[in-house]
Amino acid sequence: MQAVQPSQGKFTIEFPALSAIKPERWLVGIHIILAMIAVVVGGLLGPFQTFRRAPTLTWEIPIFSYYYQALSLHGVLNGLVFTTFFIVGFSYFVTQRSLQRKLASIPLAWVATGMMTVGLLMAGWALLAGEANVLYTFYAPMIAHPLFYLGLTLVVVGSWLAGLNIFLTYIQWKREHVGQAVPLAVYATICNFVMWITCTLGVAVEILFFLLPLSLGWVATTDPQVTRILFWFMGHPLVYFWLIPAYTSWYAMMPKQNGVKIFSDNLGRLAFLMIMLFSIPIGVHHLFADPGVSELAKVMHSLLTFVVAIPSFLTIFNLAATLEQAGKKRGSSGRLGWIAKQQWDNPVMAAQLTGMMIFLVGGITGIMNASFNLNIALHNTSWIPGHFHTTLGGGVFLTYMGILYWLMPILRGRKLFSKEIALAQVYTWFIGIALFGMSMARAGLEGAPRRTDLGAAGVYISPAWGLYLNLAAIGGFILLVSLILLIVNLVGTLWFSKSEPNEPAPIDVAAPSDSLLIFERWGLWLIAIVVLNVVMWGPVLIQGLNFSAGFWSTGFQMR
Amino acid sequence: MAQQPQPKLEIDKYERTYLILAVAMVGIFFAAILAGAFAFNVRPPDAAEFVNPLTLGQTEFTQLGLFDRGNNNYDLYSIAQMWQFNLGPGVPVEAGHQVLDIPLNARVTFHVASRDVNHGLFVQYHNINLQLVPGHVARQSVIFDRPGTFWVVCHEYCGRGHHNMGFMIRVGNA
Repeated sequence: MQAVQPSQGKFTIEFPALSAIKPERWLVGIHIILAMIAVVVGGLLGPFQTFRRAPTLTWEIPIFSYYYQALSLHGVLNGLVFTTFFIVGFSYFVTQRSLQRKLASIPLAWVATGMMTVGLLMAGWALLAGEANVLYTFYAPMIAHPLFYLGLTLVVVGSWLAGLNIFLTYIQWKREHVGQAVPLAVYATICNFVMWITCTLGVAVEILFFLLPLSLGWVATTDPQVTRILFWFMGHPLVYFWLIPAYTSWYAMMPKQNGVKIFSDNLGRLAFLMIMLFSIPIGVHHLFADPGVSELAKVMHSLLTFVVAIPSFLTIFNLAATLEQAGKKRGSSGRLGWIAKQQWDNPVMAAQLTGMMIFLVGGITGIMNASFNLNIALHNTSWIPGHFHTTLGGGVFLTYMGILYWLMPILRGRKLFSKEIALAQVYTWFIGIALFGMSMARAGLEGAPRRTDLGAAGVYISPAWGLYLNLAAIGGFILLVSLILLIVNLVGTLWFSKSEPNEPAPIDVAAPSDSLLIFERWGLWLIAIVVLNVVMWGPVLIQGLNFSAGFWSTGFQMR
Repeated sequence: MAQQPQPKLEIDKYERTYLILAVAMVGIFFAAILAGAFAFNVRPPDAAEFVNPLTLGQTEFTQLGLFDRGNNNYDLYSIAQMWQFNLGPGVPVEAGHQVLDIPLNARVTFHVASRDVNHGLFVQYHNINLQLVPGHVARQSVIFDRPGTFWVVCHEYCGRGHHNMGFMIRVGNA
């Protein structure tokens, strides 16, 4: 049961007034469609990797029989392309609907879309042609085709323009609403793009000054440690870039989908602010095993990683309290009765609720990874993909599906093809990813490496891994079923569903009156970001650079 | 436009208690980490020296293998390259993989450098995990206090033969 008011009128896209206009739906829709194409292609490759790694199967991956090509496609399409396109599209939608105005510049938005799409085609070609078997982390001195790097650059720069457009829209709104706090969803979106534009400066430098010139043959040598440092300047905020839209859905849309208010709007703002400030100066927790980073930096980044866990703890309370209100409103009794009273039969809510549950596991395992010395037992074992498939593959992906199942009908102007299939998709995904994540994590504790073609002939296999790798393949199979259900619903909604959608977008157009304005002191926060990162990353970068000898490593083509 | 009085931040009393507990918990976690690192000496590698990956033969990596330093202390020098760990001469090969014998309770300091791309090294069930980044020497010590056979695998993707890059450590000739 949907708690939102059924809308009246014929064309029931009851956007808060303004425009249910076609160009806007196209602009957002293109991003969502490209994102879904990426995740379907990239996602389908996932289960076949689990089949390949399972000792009882060791099946070759169809079409992309070279394991590391399949893995590169899987990582880039899911982690970089699906996410970036989905987030940009969703952020446009949130900004326009929530502020009730058009983007500052529609032409700029289309230029950004064009750049991102061309970039996707370039990187996609390199990957499909086997010219970029470098995985999504593309560590130097491995080199891919120049078009791979150029493509990724275009996707990132396109997303910068999207962020700029959103900032400008916000500034215009702010001029007309002096003394008013911006709605929480837009606040989160702005935090996300401030963080994203800041952190991708690292990977931009890495690509433009290191990898691309090496790939083009303009320089002969590079520095692997420095490029790793630059990559992980971006690499951790990247996961928060994925996460903030999911949090936006939980904080700003889920209450509306339940007919209640968020328990604490201001602490929600605090959570987003803290994520923006602290998600970048912690990236060395990906470099705990690196030989070119000092132990001191590792301790410091570990400490700040624990600080960035605080907003997630805040989120748990805030969301649980909100859901409790929703359950009580529906007549729950007892202390935990509200849990049973959630909308478990509504795919939009089921996706978010299961997403939260699986994300809890992802958060806890994340704290373990970030634990300085505990990391010795975990780094680059299959524990790591076990962990991030419960965050990106679990909490984030499920929540995005929760968004998709109301957003796509609105954009397309047709009802969701099948609510039942959507529900089945959500629950199979939840079970599949939980089994997969748990098995991979367990195999990792037994010493199974990640990113390794364990099905190849003559490969080392410890008997202790077999059970868990096989269980991961069962998880993979369930995920494959879930993906097929998703494809059926996507195709069905786009072309075979007839009736018009009858549910409005769950978007607030104003902040509560007690929302604090201090959270929007952007100048102050920008200074804080600069100071934090200069202090936390400056010494790491300087120590990584070899000032006396320069660059030593020659590039290696990975075909 | 008249400035409205700023609302004040109000935090629910349960939420405040919860927040204090959450911060305390995170603090305890971090204290445990520091205790593990500095009281029990379970630590990740510190920054080590630069080394030219193209001329490793002229450095401390001239001679590779396990060196007995007395008192059950050993040094292991190895070069990681596509797609093997070079452990020096005389290491027996069983079923296609090198098997390195290490006495029980030996404290072995690993010194490893990459000759080409990123590699990695960890020993199954032991407190050692190194990223082998070309241009740096990776060093870490570990005590082999349980008999058995353990896989040592390259844990960073390094190209076509990545999955064949590994060797075994046999402790106490078990």
